[in-house]
Amino acid sequence: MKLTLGTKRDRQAEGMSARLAAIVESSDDAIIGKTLDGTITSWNQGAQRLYGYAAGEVIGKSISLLVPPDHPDEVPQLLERIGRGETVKHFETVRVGKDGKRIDVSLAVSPIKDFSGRIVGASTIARDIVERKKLEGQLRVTSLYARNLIEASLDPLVTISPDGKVTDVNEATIKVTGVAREKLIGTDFSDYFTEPQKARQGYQQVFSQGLVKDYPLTIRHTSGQTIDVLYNASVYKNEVGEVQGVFAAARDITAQKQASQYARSLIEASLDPLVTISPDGKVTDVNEATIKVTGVAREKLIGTDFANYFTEPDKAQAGYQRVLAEGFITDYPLTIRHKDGKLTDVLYNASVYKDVTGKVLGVFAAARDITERKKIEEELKKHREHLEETVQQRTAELTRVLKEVQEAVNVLSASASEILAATTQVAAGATETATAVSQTTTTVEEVRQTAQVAAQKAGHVSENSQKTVKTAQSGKKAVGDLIEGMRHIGERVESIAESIVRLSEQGQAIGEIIATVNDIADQSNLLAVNAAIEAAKAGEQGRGFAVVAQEIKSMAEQSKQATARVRTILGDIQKGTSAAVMATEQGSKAVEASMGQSSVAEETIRVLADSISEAAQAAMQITSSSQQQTVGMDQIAAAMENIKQTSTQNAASTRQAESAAQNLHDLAQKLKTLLE
Amino acid sequence: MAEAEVNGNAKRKSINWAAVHRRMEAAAVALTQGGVSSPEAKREILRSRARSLARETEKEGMPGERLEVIEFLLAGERYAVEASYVREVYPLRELVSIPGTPAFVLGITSVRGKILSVIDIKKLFDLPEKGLTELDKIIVLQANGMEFGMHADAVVGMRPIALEDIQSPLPTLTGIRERYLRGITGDQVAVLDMGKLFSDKSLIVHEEVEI
Repeated sequence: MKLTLGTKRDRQAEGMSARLAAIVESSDDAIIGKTLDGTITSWNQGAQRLYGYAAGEVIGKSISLLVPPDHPDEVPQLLERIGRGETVKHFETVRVGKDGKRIDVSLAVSPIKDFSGRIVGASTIARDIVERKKLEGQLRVTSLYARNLIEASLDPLVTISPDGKVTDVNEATIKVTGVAREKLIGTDFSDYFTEPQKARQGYQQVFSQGLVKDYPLTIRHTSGQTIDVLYNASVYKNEVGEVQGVFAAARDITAQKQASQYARSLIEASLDPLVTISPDGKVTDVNEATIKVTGVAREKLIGTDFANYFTEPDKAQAGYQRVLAEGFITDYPLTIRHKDGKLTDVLYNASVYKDVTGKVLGVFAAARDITERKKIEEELKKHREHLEETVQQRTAELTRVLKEVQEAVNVLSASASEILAATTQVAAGATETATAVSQTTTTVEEVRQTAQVAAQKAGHVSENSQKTVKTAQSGKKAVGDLIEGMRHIGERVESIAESIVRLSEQGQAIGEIIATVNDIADQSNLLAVNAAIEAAKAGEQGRGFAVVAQEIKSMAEQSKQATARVRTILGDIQKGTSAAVMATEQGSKAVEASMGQSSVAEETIRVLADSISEAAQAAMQITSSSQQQTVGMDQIAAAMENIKQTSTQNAASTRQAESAAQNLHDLAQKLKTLLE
Repeated sequence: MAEAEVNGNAKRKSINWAAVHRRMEAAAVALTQGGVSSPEAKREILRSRARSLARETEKEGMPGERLEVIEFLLAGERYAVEASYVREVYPLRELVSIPGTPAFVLGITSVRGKILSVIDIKKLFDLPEKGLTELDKIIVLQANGMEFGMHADAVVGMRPIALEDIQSPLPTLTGIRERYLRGITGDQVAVLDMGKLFSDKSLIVHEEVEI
């Protein structure tokens, strides 16, 4: 901005300008002037405060210096609007300060015109709204928080109008009265107490005095239950100070009452003498133990000097003064004097007690009777001395014993080594045994299976043998039948032979007869010859006779021929019968041989049957034996299994023993080391 | 098994018992009818006899001189003697050999109570001993008051022989055979000469010497 001097008007303007400049300079707000292309032309104190740059640092530079990189178009848009003659008001945005911090600002941008009214730049008034924004946020939160606090408060809270009507309540009030919020609001506050009059007086007191504190009242619940409360209440006003009503907060003191009673009884029950002392050294309260130890009544004690009851009143006084000065003392030794002169050694622990505001109200002092303790300490001391002696004796004894122990440990160590070696061997042996037993078990199992197979086979053999025995018996019977049949055949063949021999003999008889006939024929022939000779001798007379002789001769010859034929036939018959006899003889012999063979076969079959029978019996015995064997093998297998388990356990036990021996050995070594 | 074999044998060599029974019955019938010839057989016999009678007639008509001989068999050879010298033929029942007699004398036998000496012409004719002979016939010969038996195996019978049929003995035959043999017929029958045999003194045994 350039100002020219000269005229009166100019002078007036000059004065005005100077005032304006002072106003601008003294403004809390940052006021920045700039050209339409964004070059900074003026920079006031407010701007320096807000952004951190001094005027010299920024004038002549671009306003974009203050714009965060994420708002690149903002300034050109603003300047364009200004260029058009618009004014921008309360534009809330973000700027970057010199230290790089982002600043929430509210901008008011106005155009700057020259004398001719031409817009030549823009003036920006920026207000830091960080605080405002924070406050706004806080307020919002505070209000909500306050309401929540009110609602969450365990104390019944209520606001009352000047005419005594309930205007607002919280959850605790609803709970304590048992009446719903809507019903409570608008009703008389005093209605909800056992003493409505007192309640009314209470809030009237608030209106008259501005507040009440610990005003005791009893709220009646709709169920009839009553709750003792203490009321704190104050008026609340509007902005102009007019009283709007009463804000009353009640506190349920039922529990407090109980706690206080509980504390009191604890105090009374305490065996230690307890006392409270005022800052000027007067007793303000005591418990039963104090009464006992002093022999003075409670009423007489209260209000008297605390120091009066000790053998050393000065020391007692110094004690409680030290408490008041330092806040506490511990194990402060004093001696209480009883009314009848009896003394009690005590240790005092004491501390100050304060009210809520921290003001010291007095000293709380607790004494502990140490008479007994002292006695005990004396005795303890004696005991300790005795103990020392005993310990010395014992130590001497122990040294001696230790030596013996050392020797024993040496022996033990050696023995442990031997035991370890032996146990290791035993462990190895046990493992081998376990392996062997395992193998044996396997073998036994195999043998058992084999025995079972044998038993089955023996069973089969037995069955087959039974069948074979039956077959052999039937075979024996068949052979017997066969021999009987053969015997019949033999008899028949013999009778056939006899018949044939008889036939042959008859053929012989026929032969004899035929020989006789032949003889006769021969003689007849001779006779015929003789007759012929005689006929020839007789000559012609013998001629007829010769013919007859010839005829006789011819007949004799025919007879001879017939006998020859018969003889031939007889020979044939003889041959046939001989052959037949021979055949029957052979047949007979064959039958005999067959019979013999059959007998042999019968005997053989009998022997065979006997053998098979024996074999069957043997097979049966084998079967039963095999079954017994199988049972036995089962038992052996079970036994072996037991042995296996036992040996496995043995091996495990031995390993444990080995490890124990190792431990023993190690222990012996350790003992040895310790003793050496 | 045994039964099966029996069955097998039966099948292999089955006997048809029914056929056997039939054959036996037939044989029995044949035996009971034995000996009784059928009328045809009888007629055949008669017819053959008639034929034989007729042939005898033809023989009588034979030309030339005939000789009636008895033909006999000895050691398989056929011999014949003149029927006129034969008294009879007889079966030889017993023969008792006489020690101290020539080899051709077989011994003595009894014919109807008469002692008769028996000679063996095989020995007489030095014929070979051809196997066994029956020697159960004797031909009783007699001439000139002398009588003896000649041994033969079998007597064939009496037959006539034409003299012209008898041929001279072979020149190879010498000694005693030539002496007693008359000749041989066409059918190889040796005809003995009985006249010479009876006249031969060597046949007569000197009893005085023998005793």
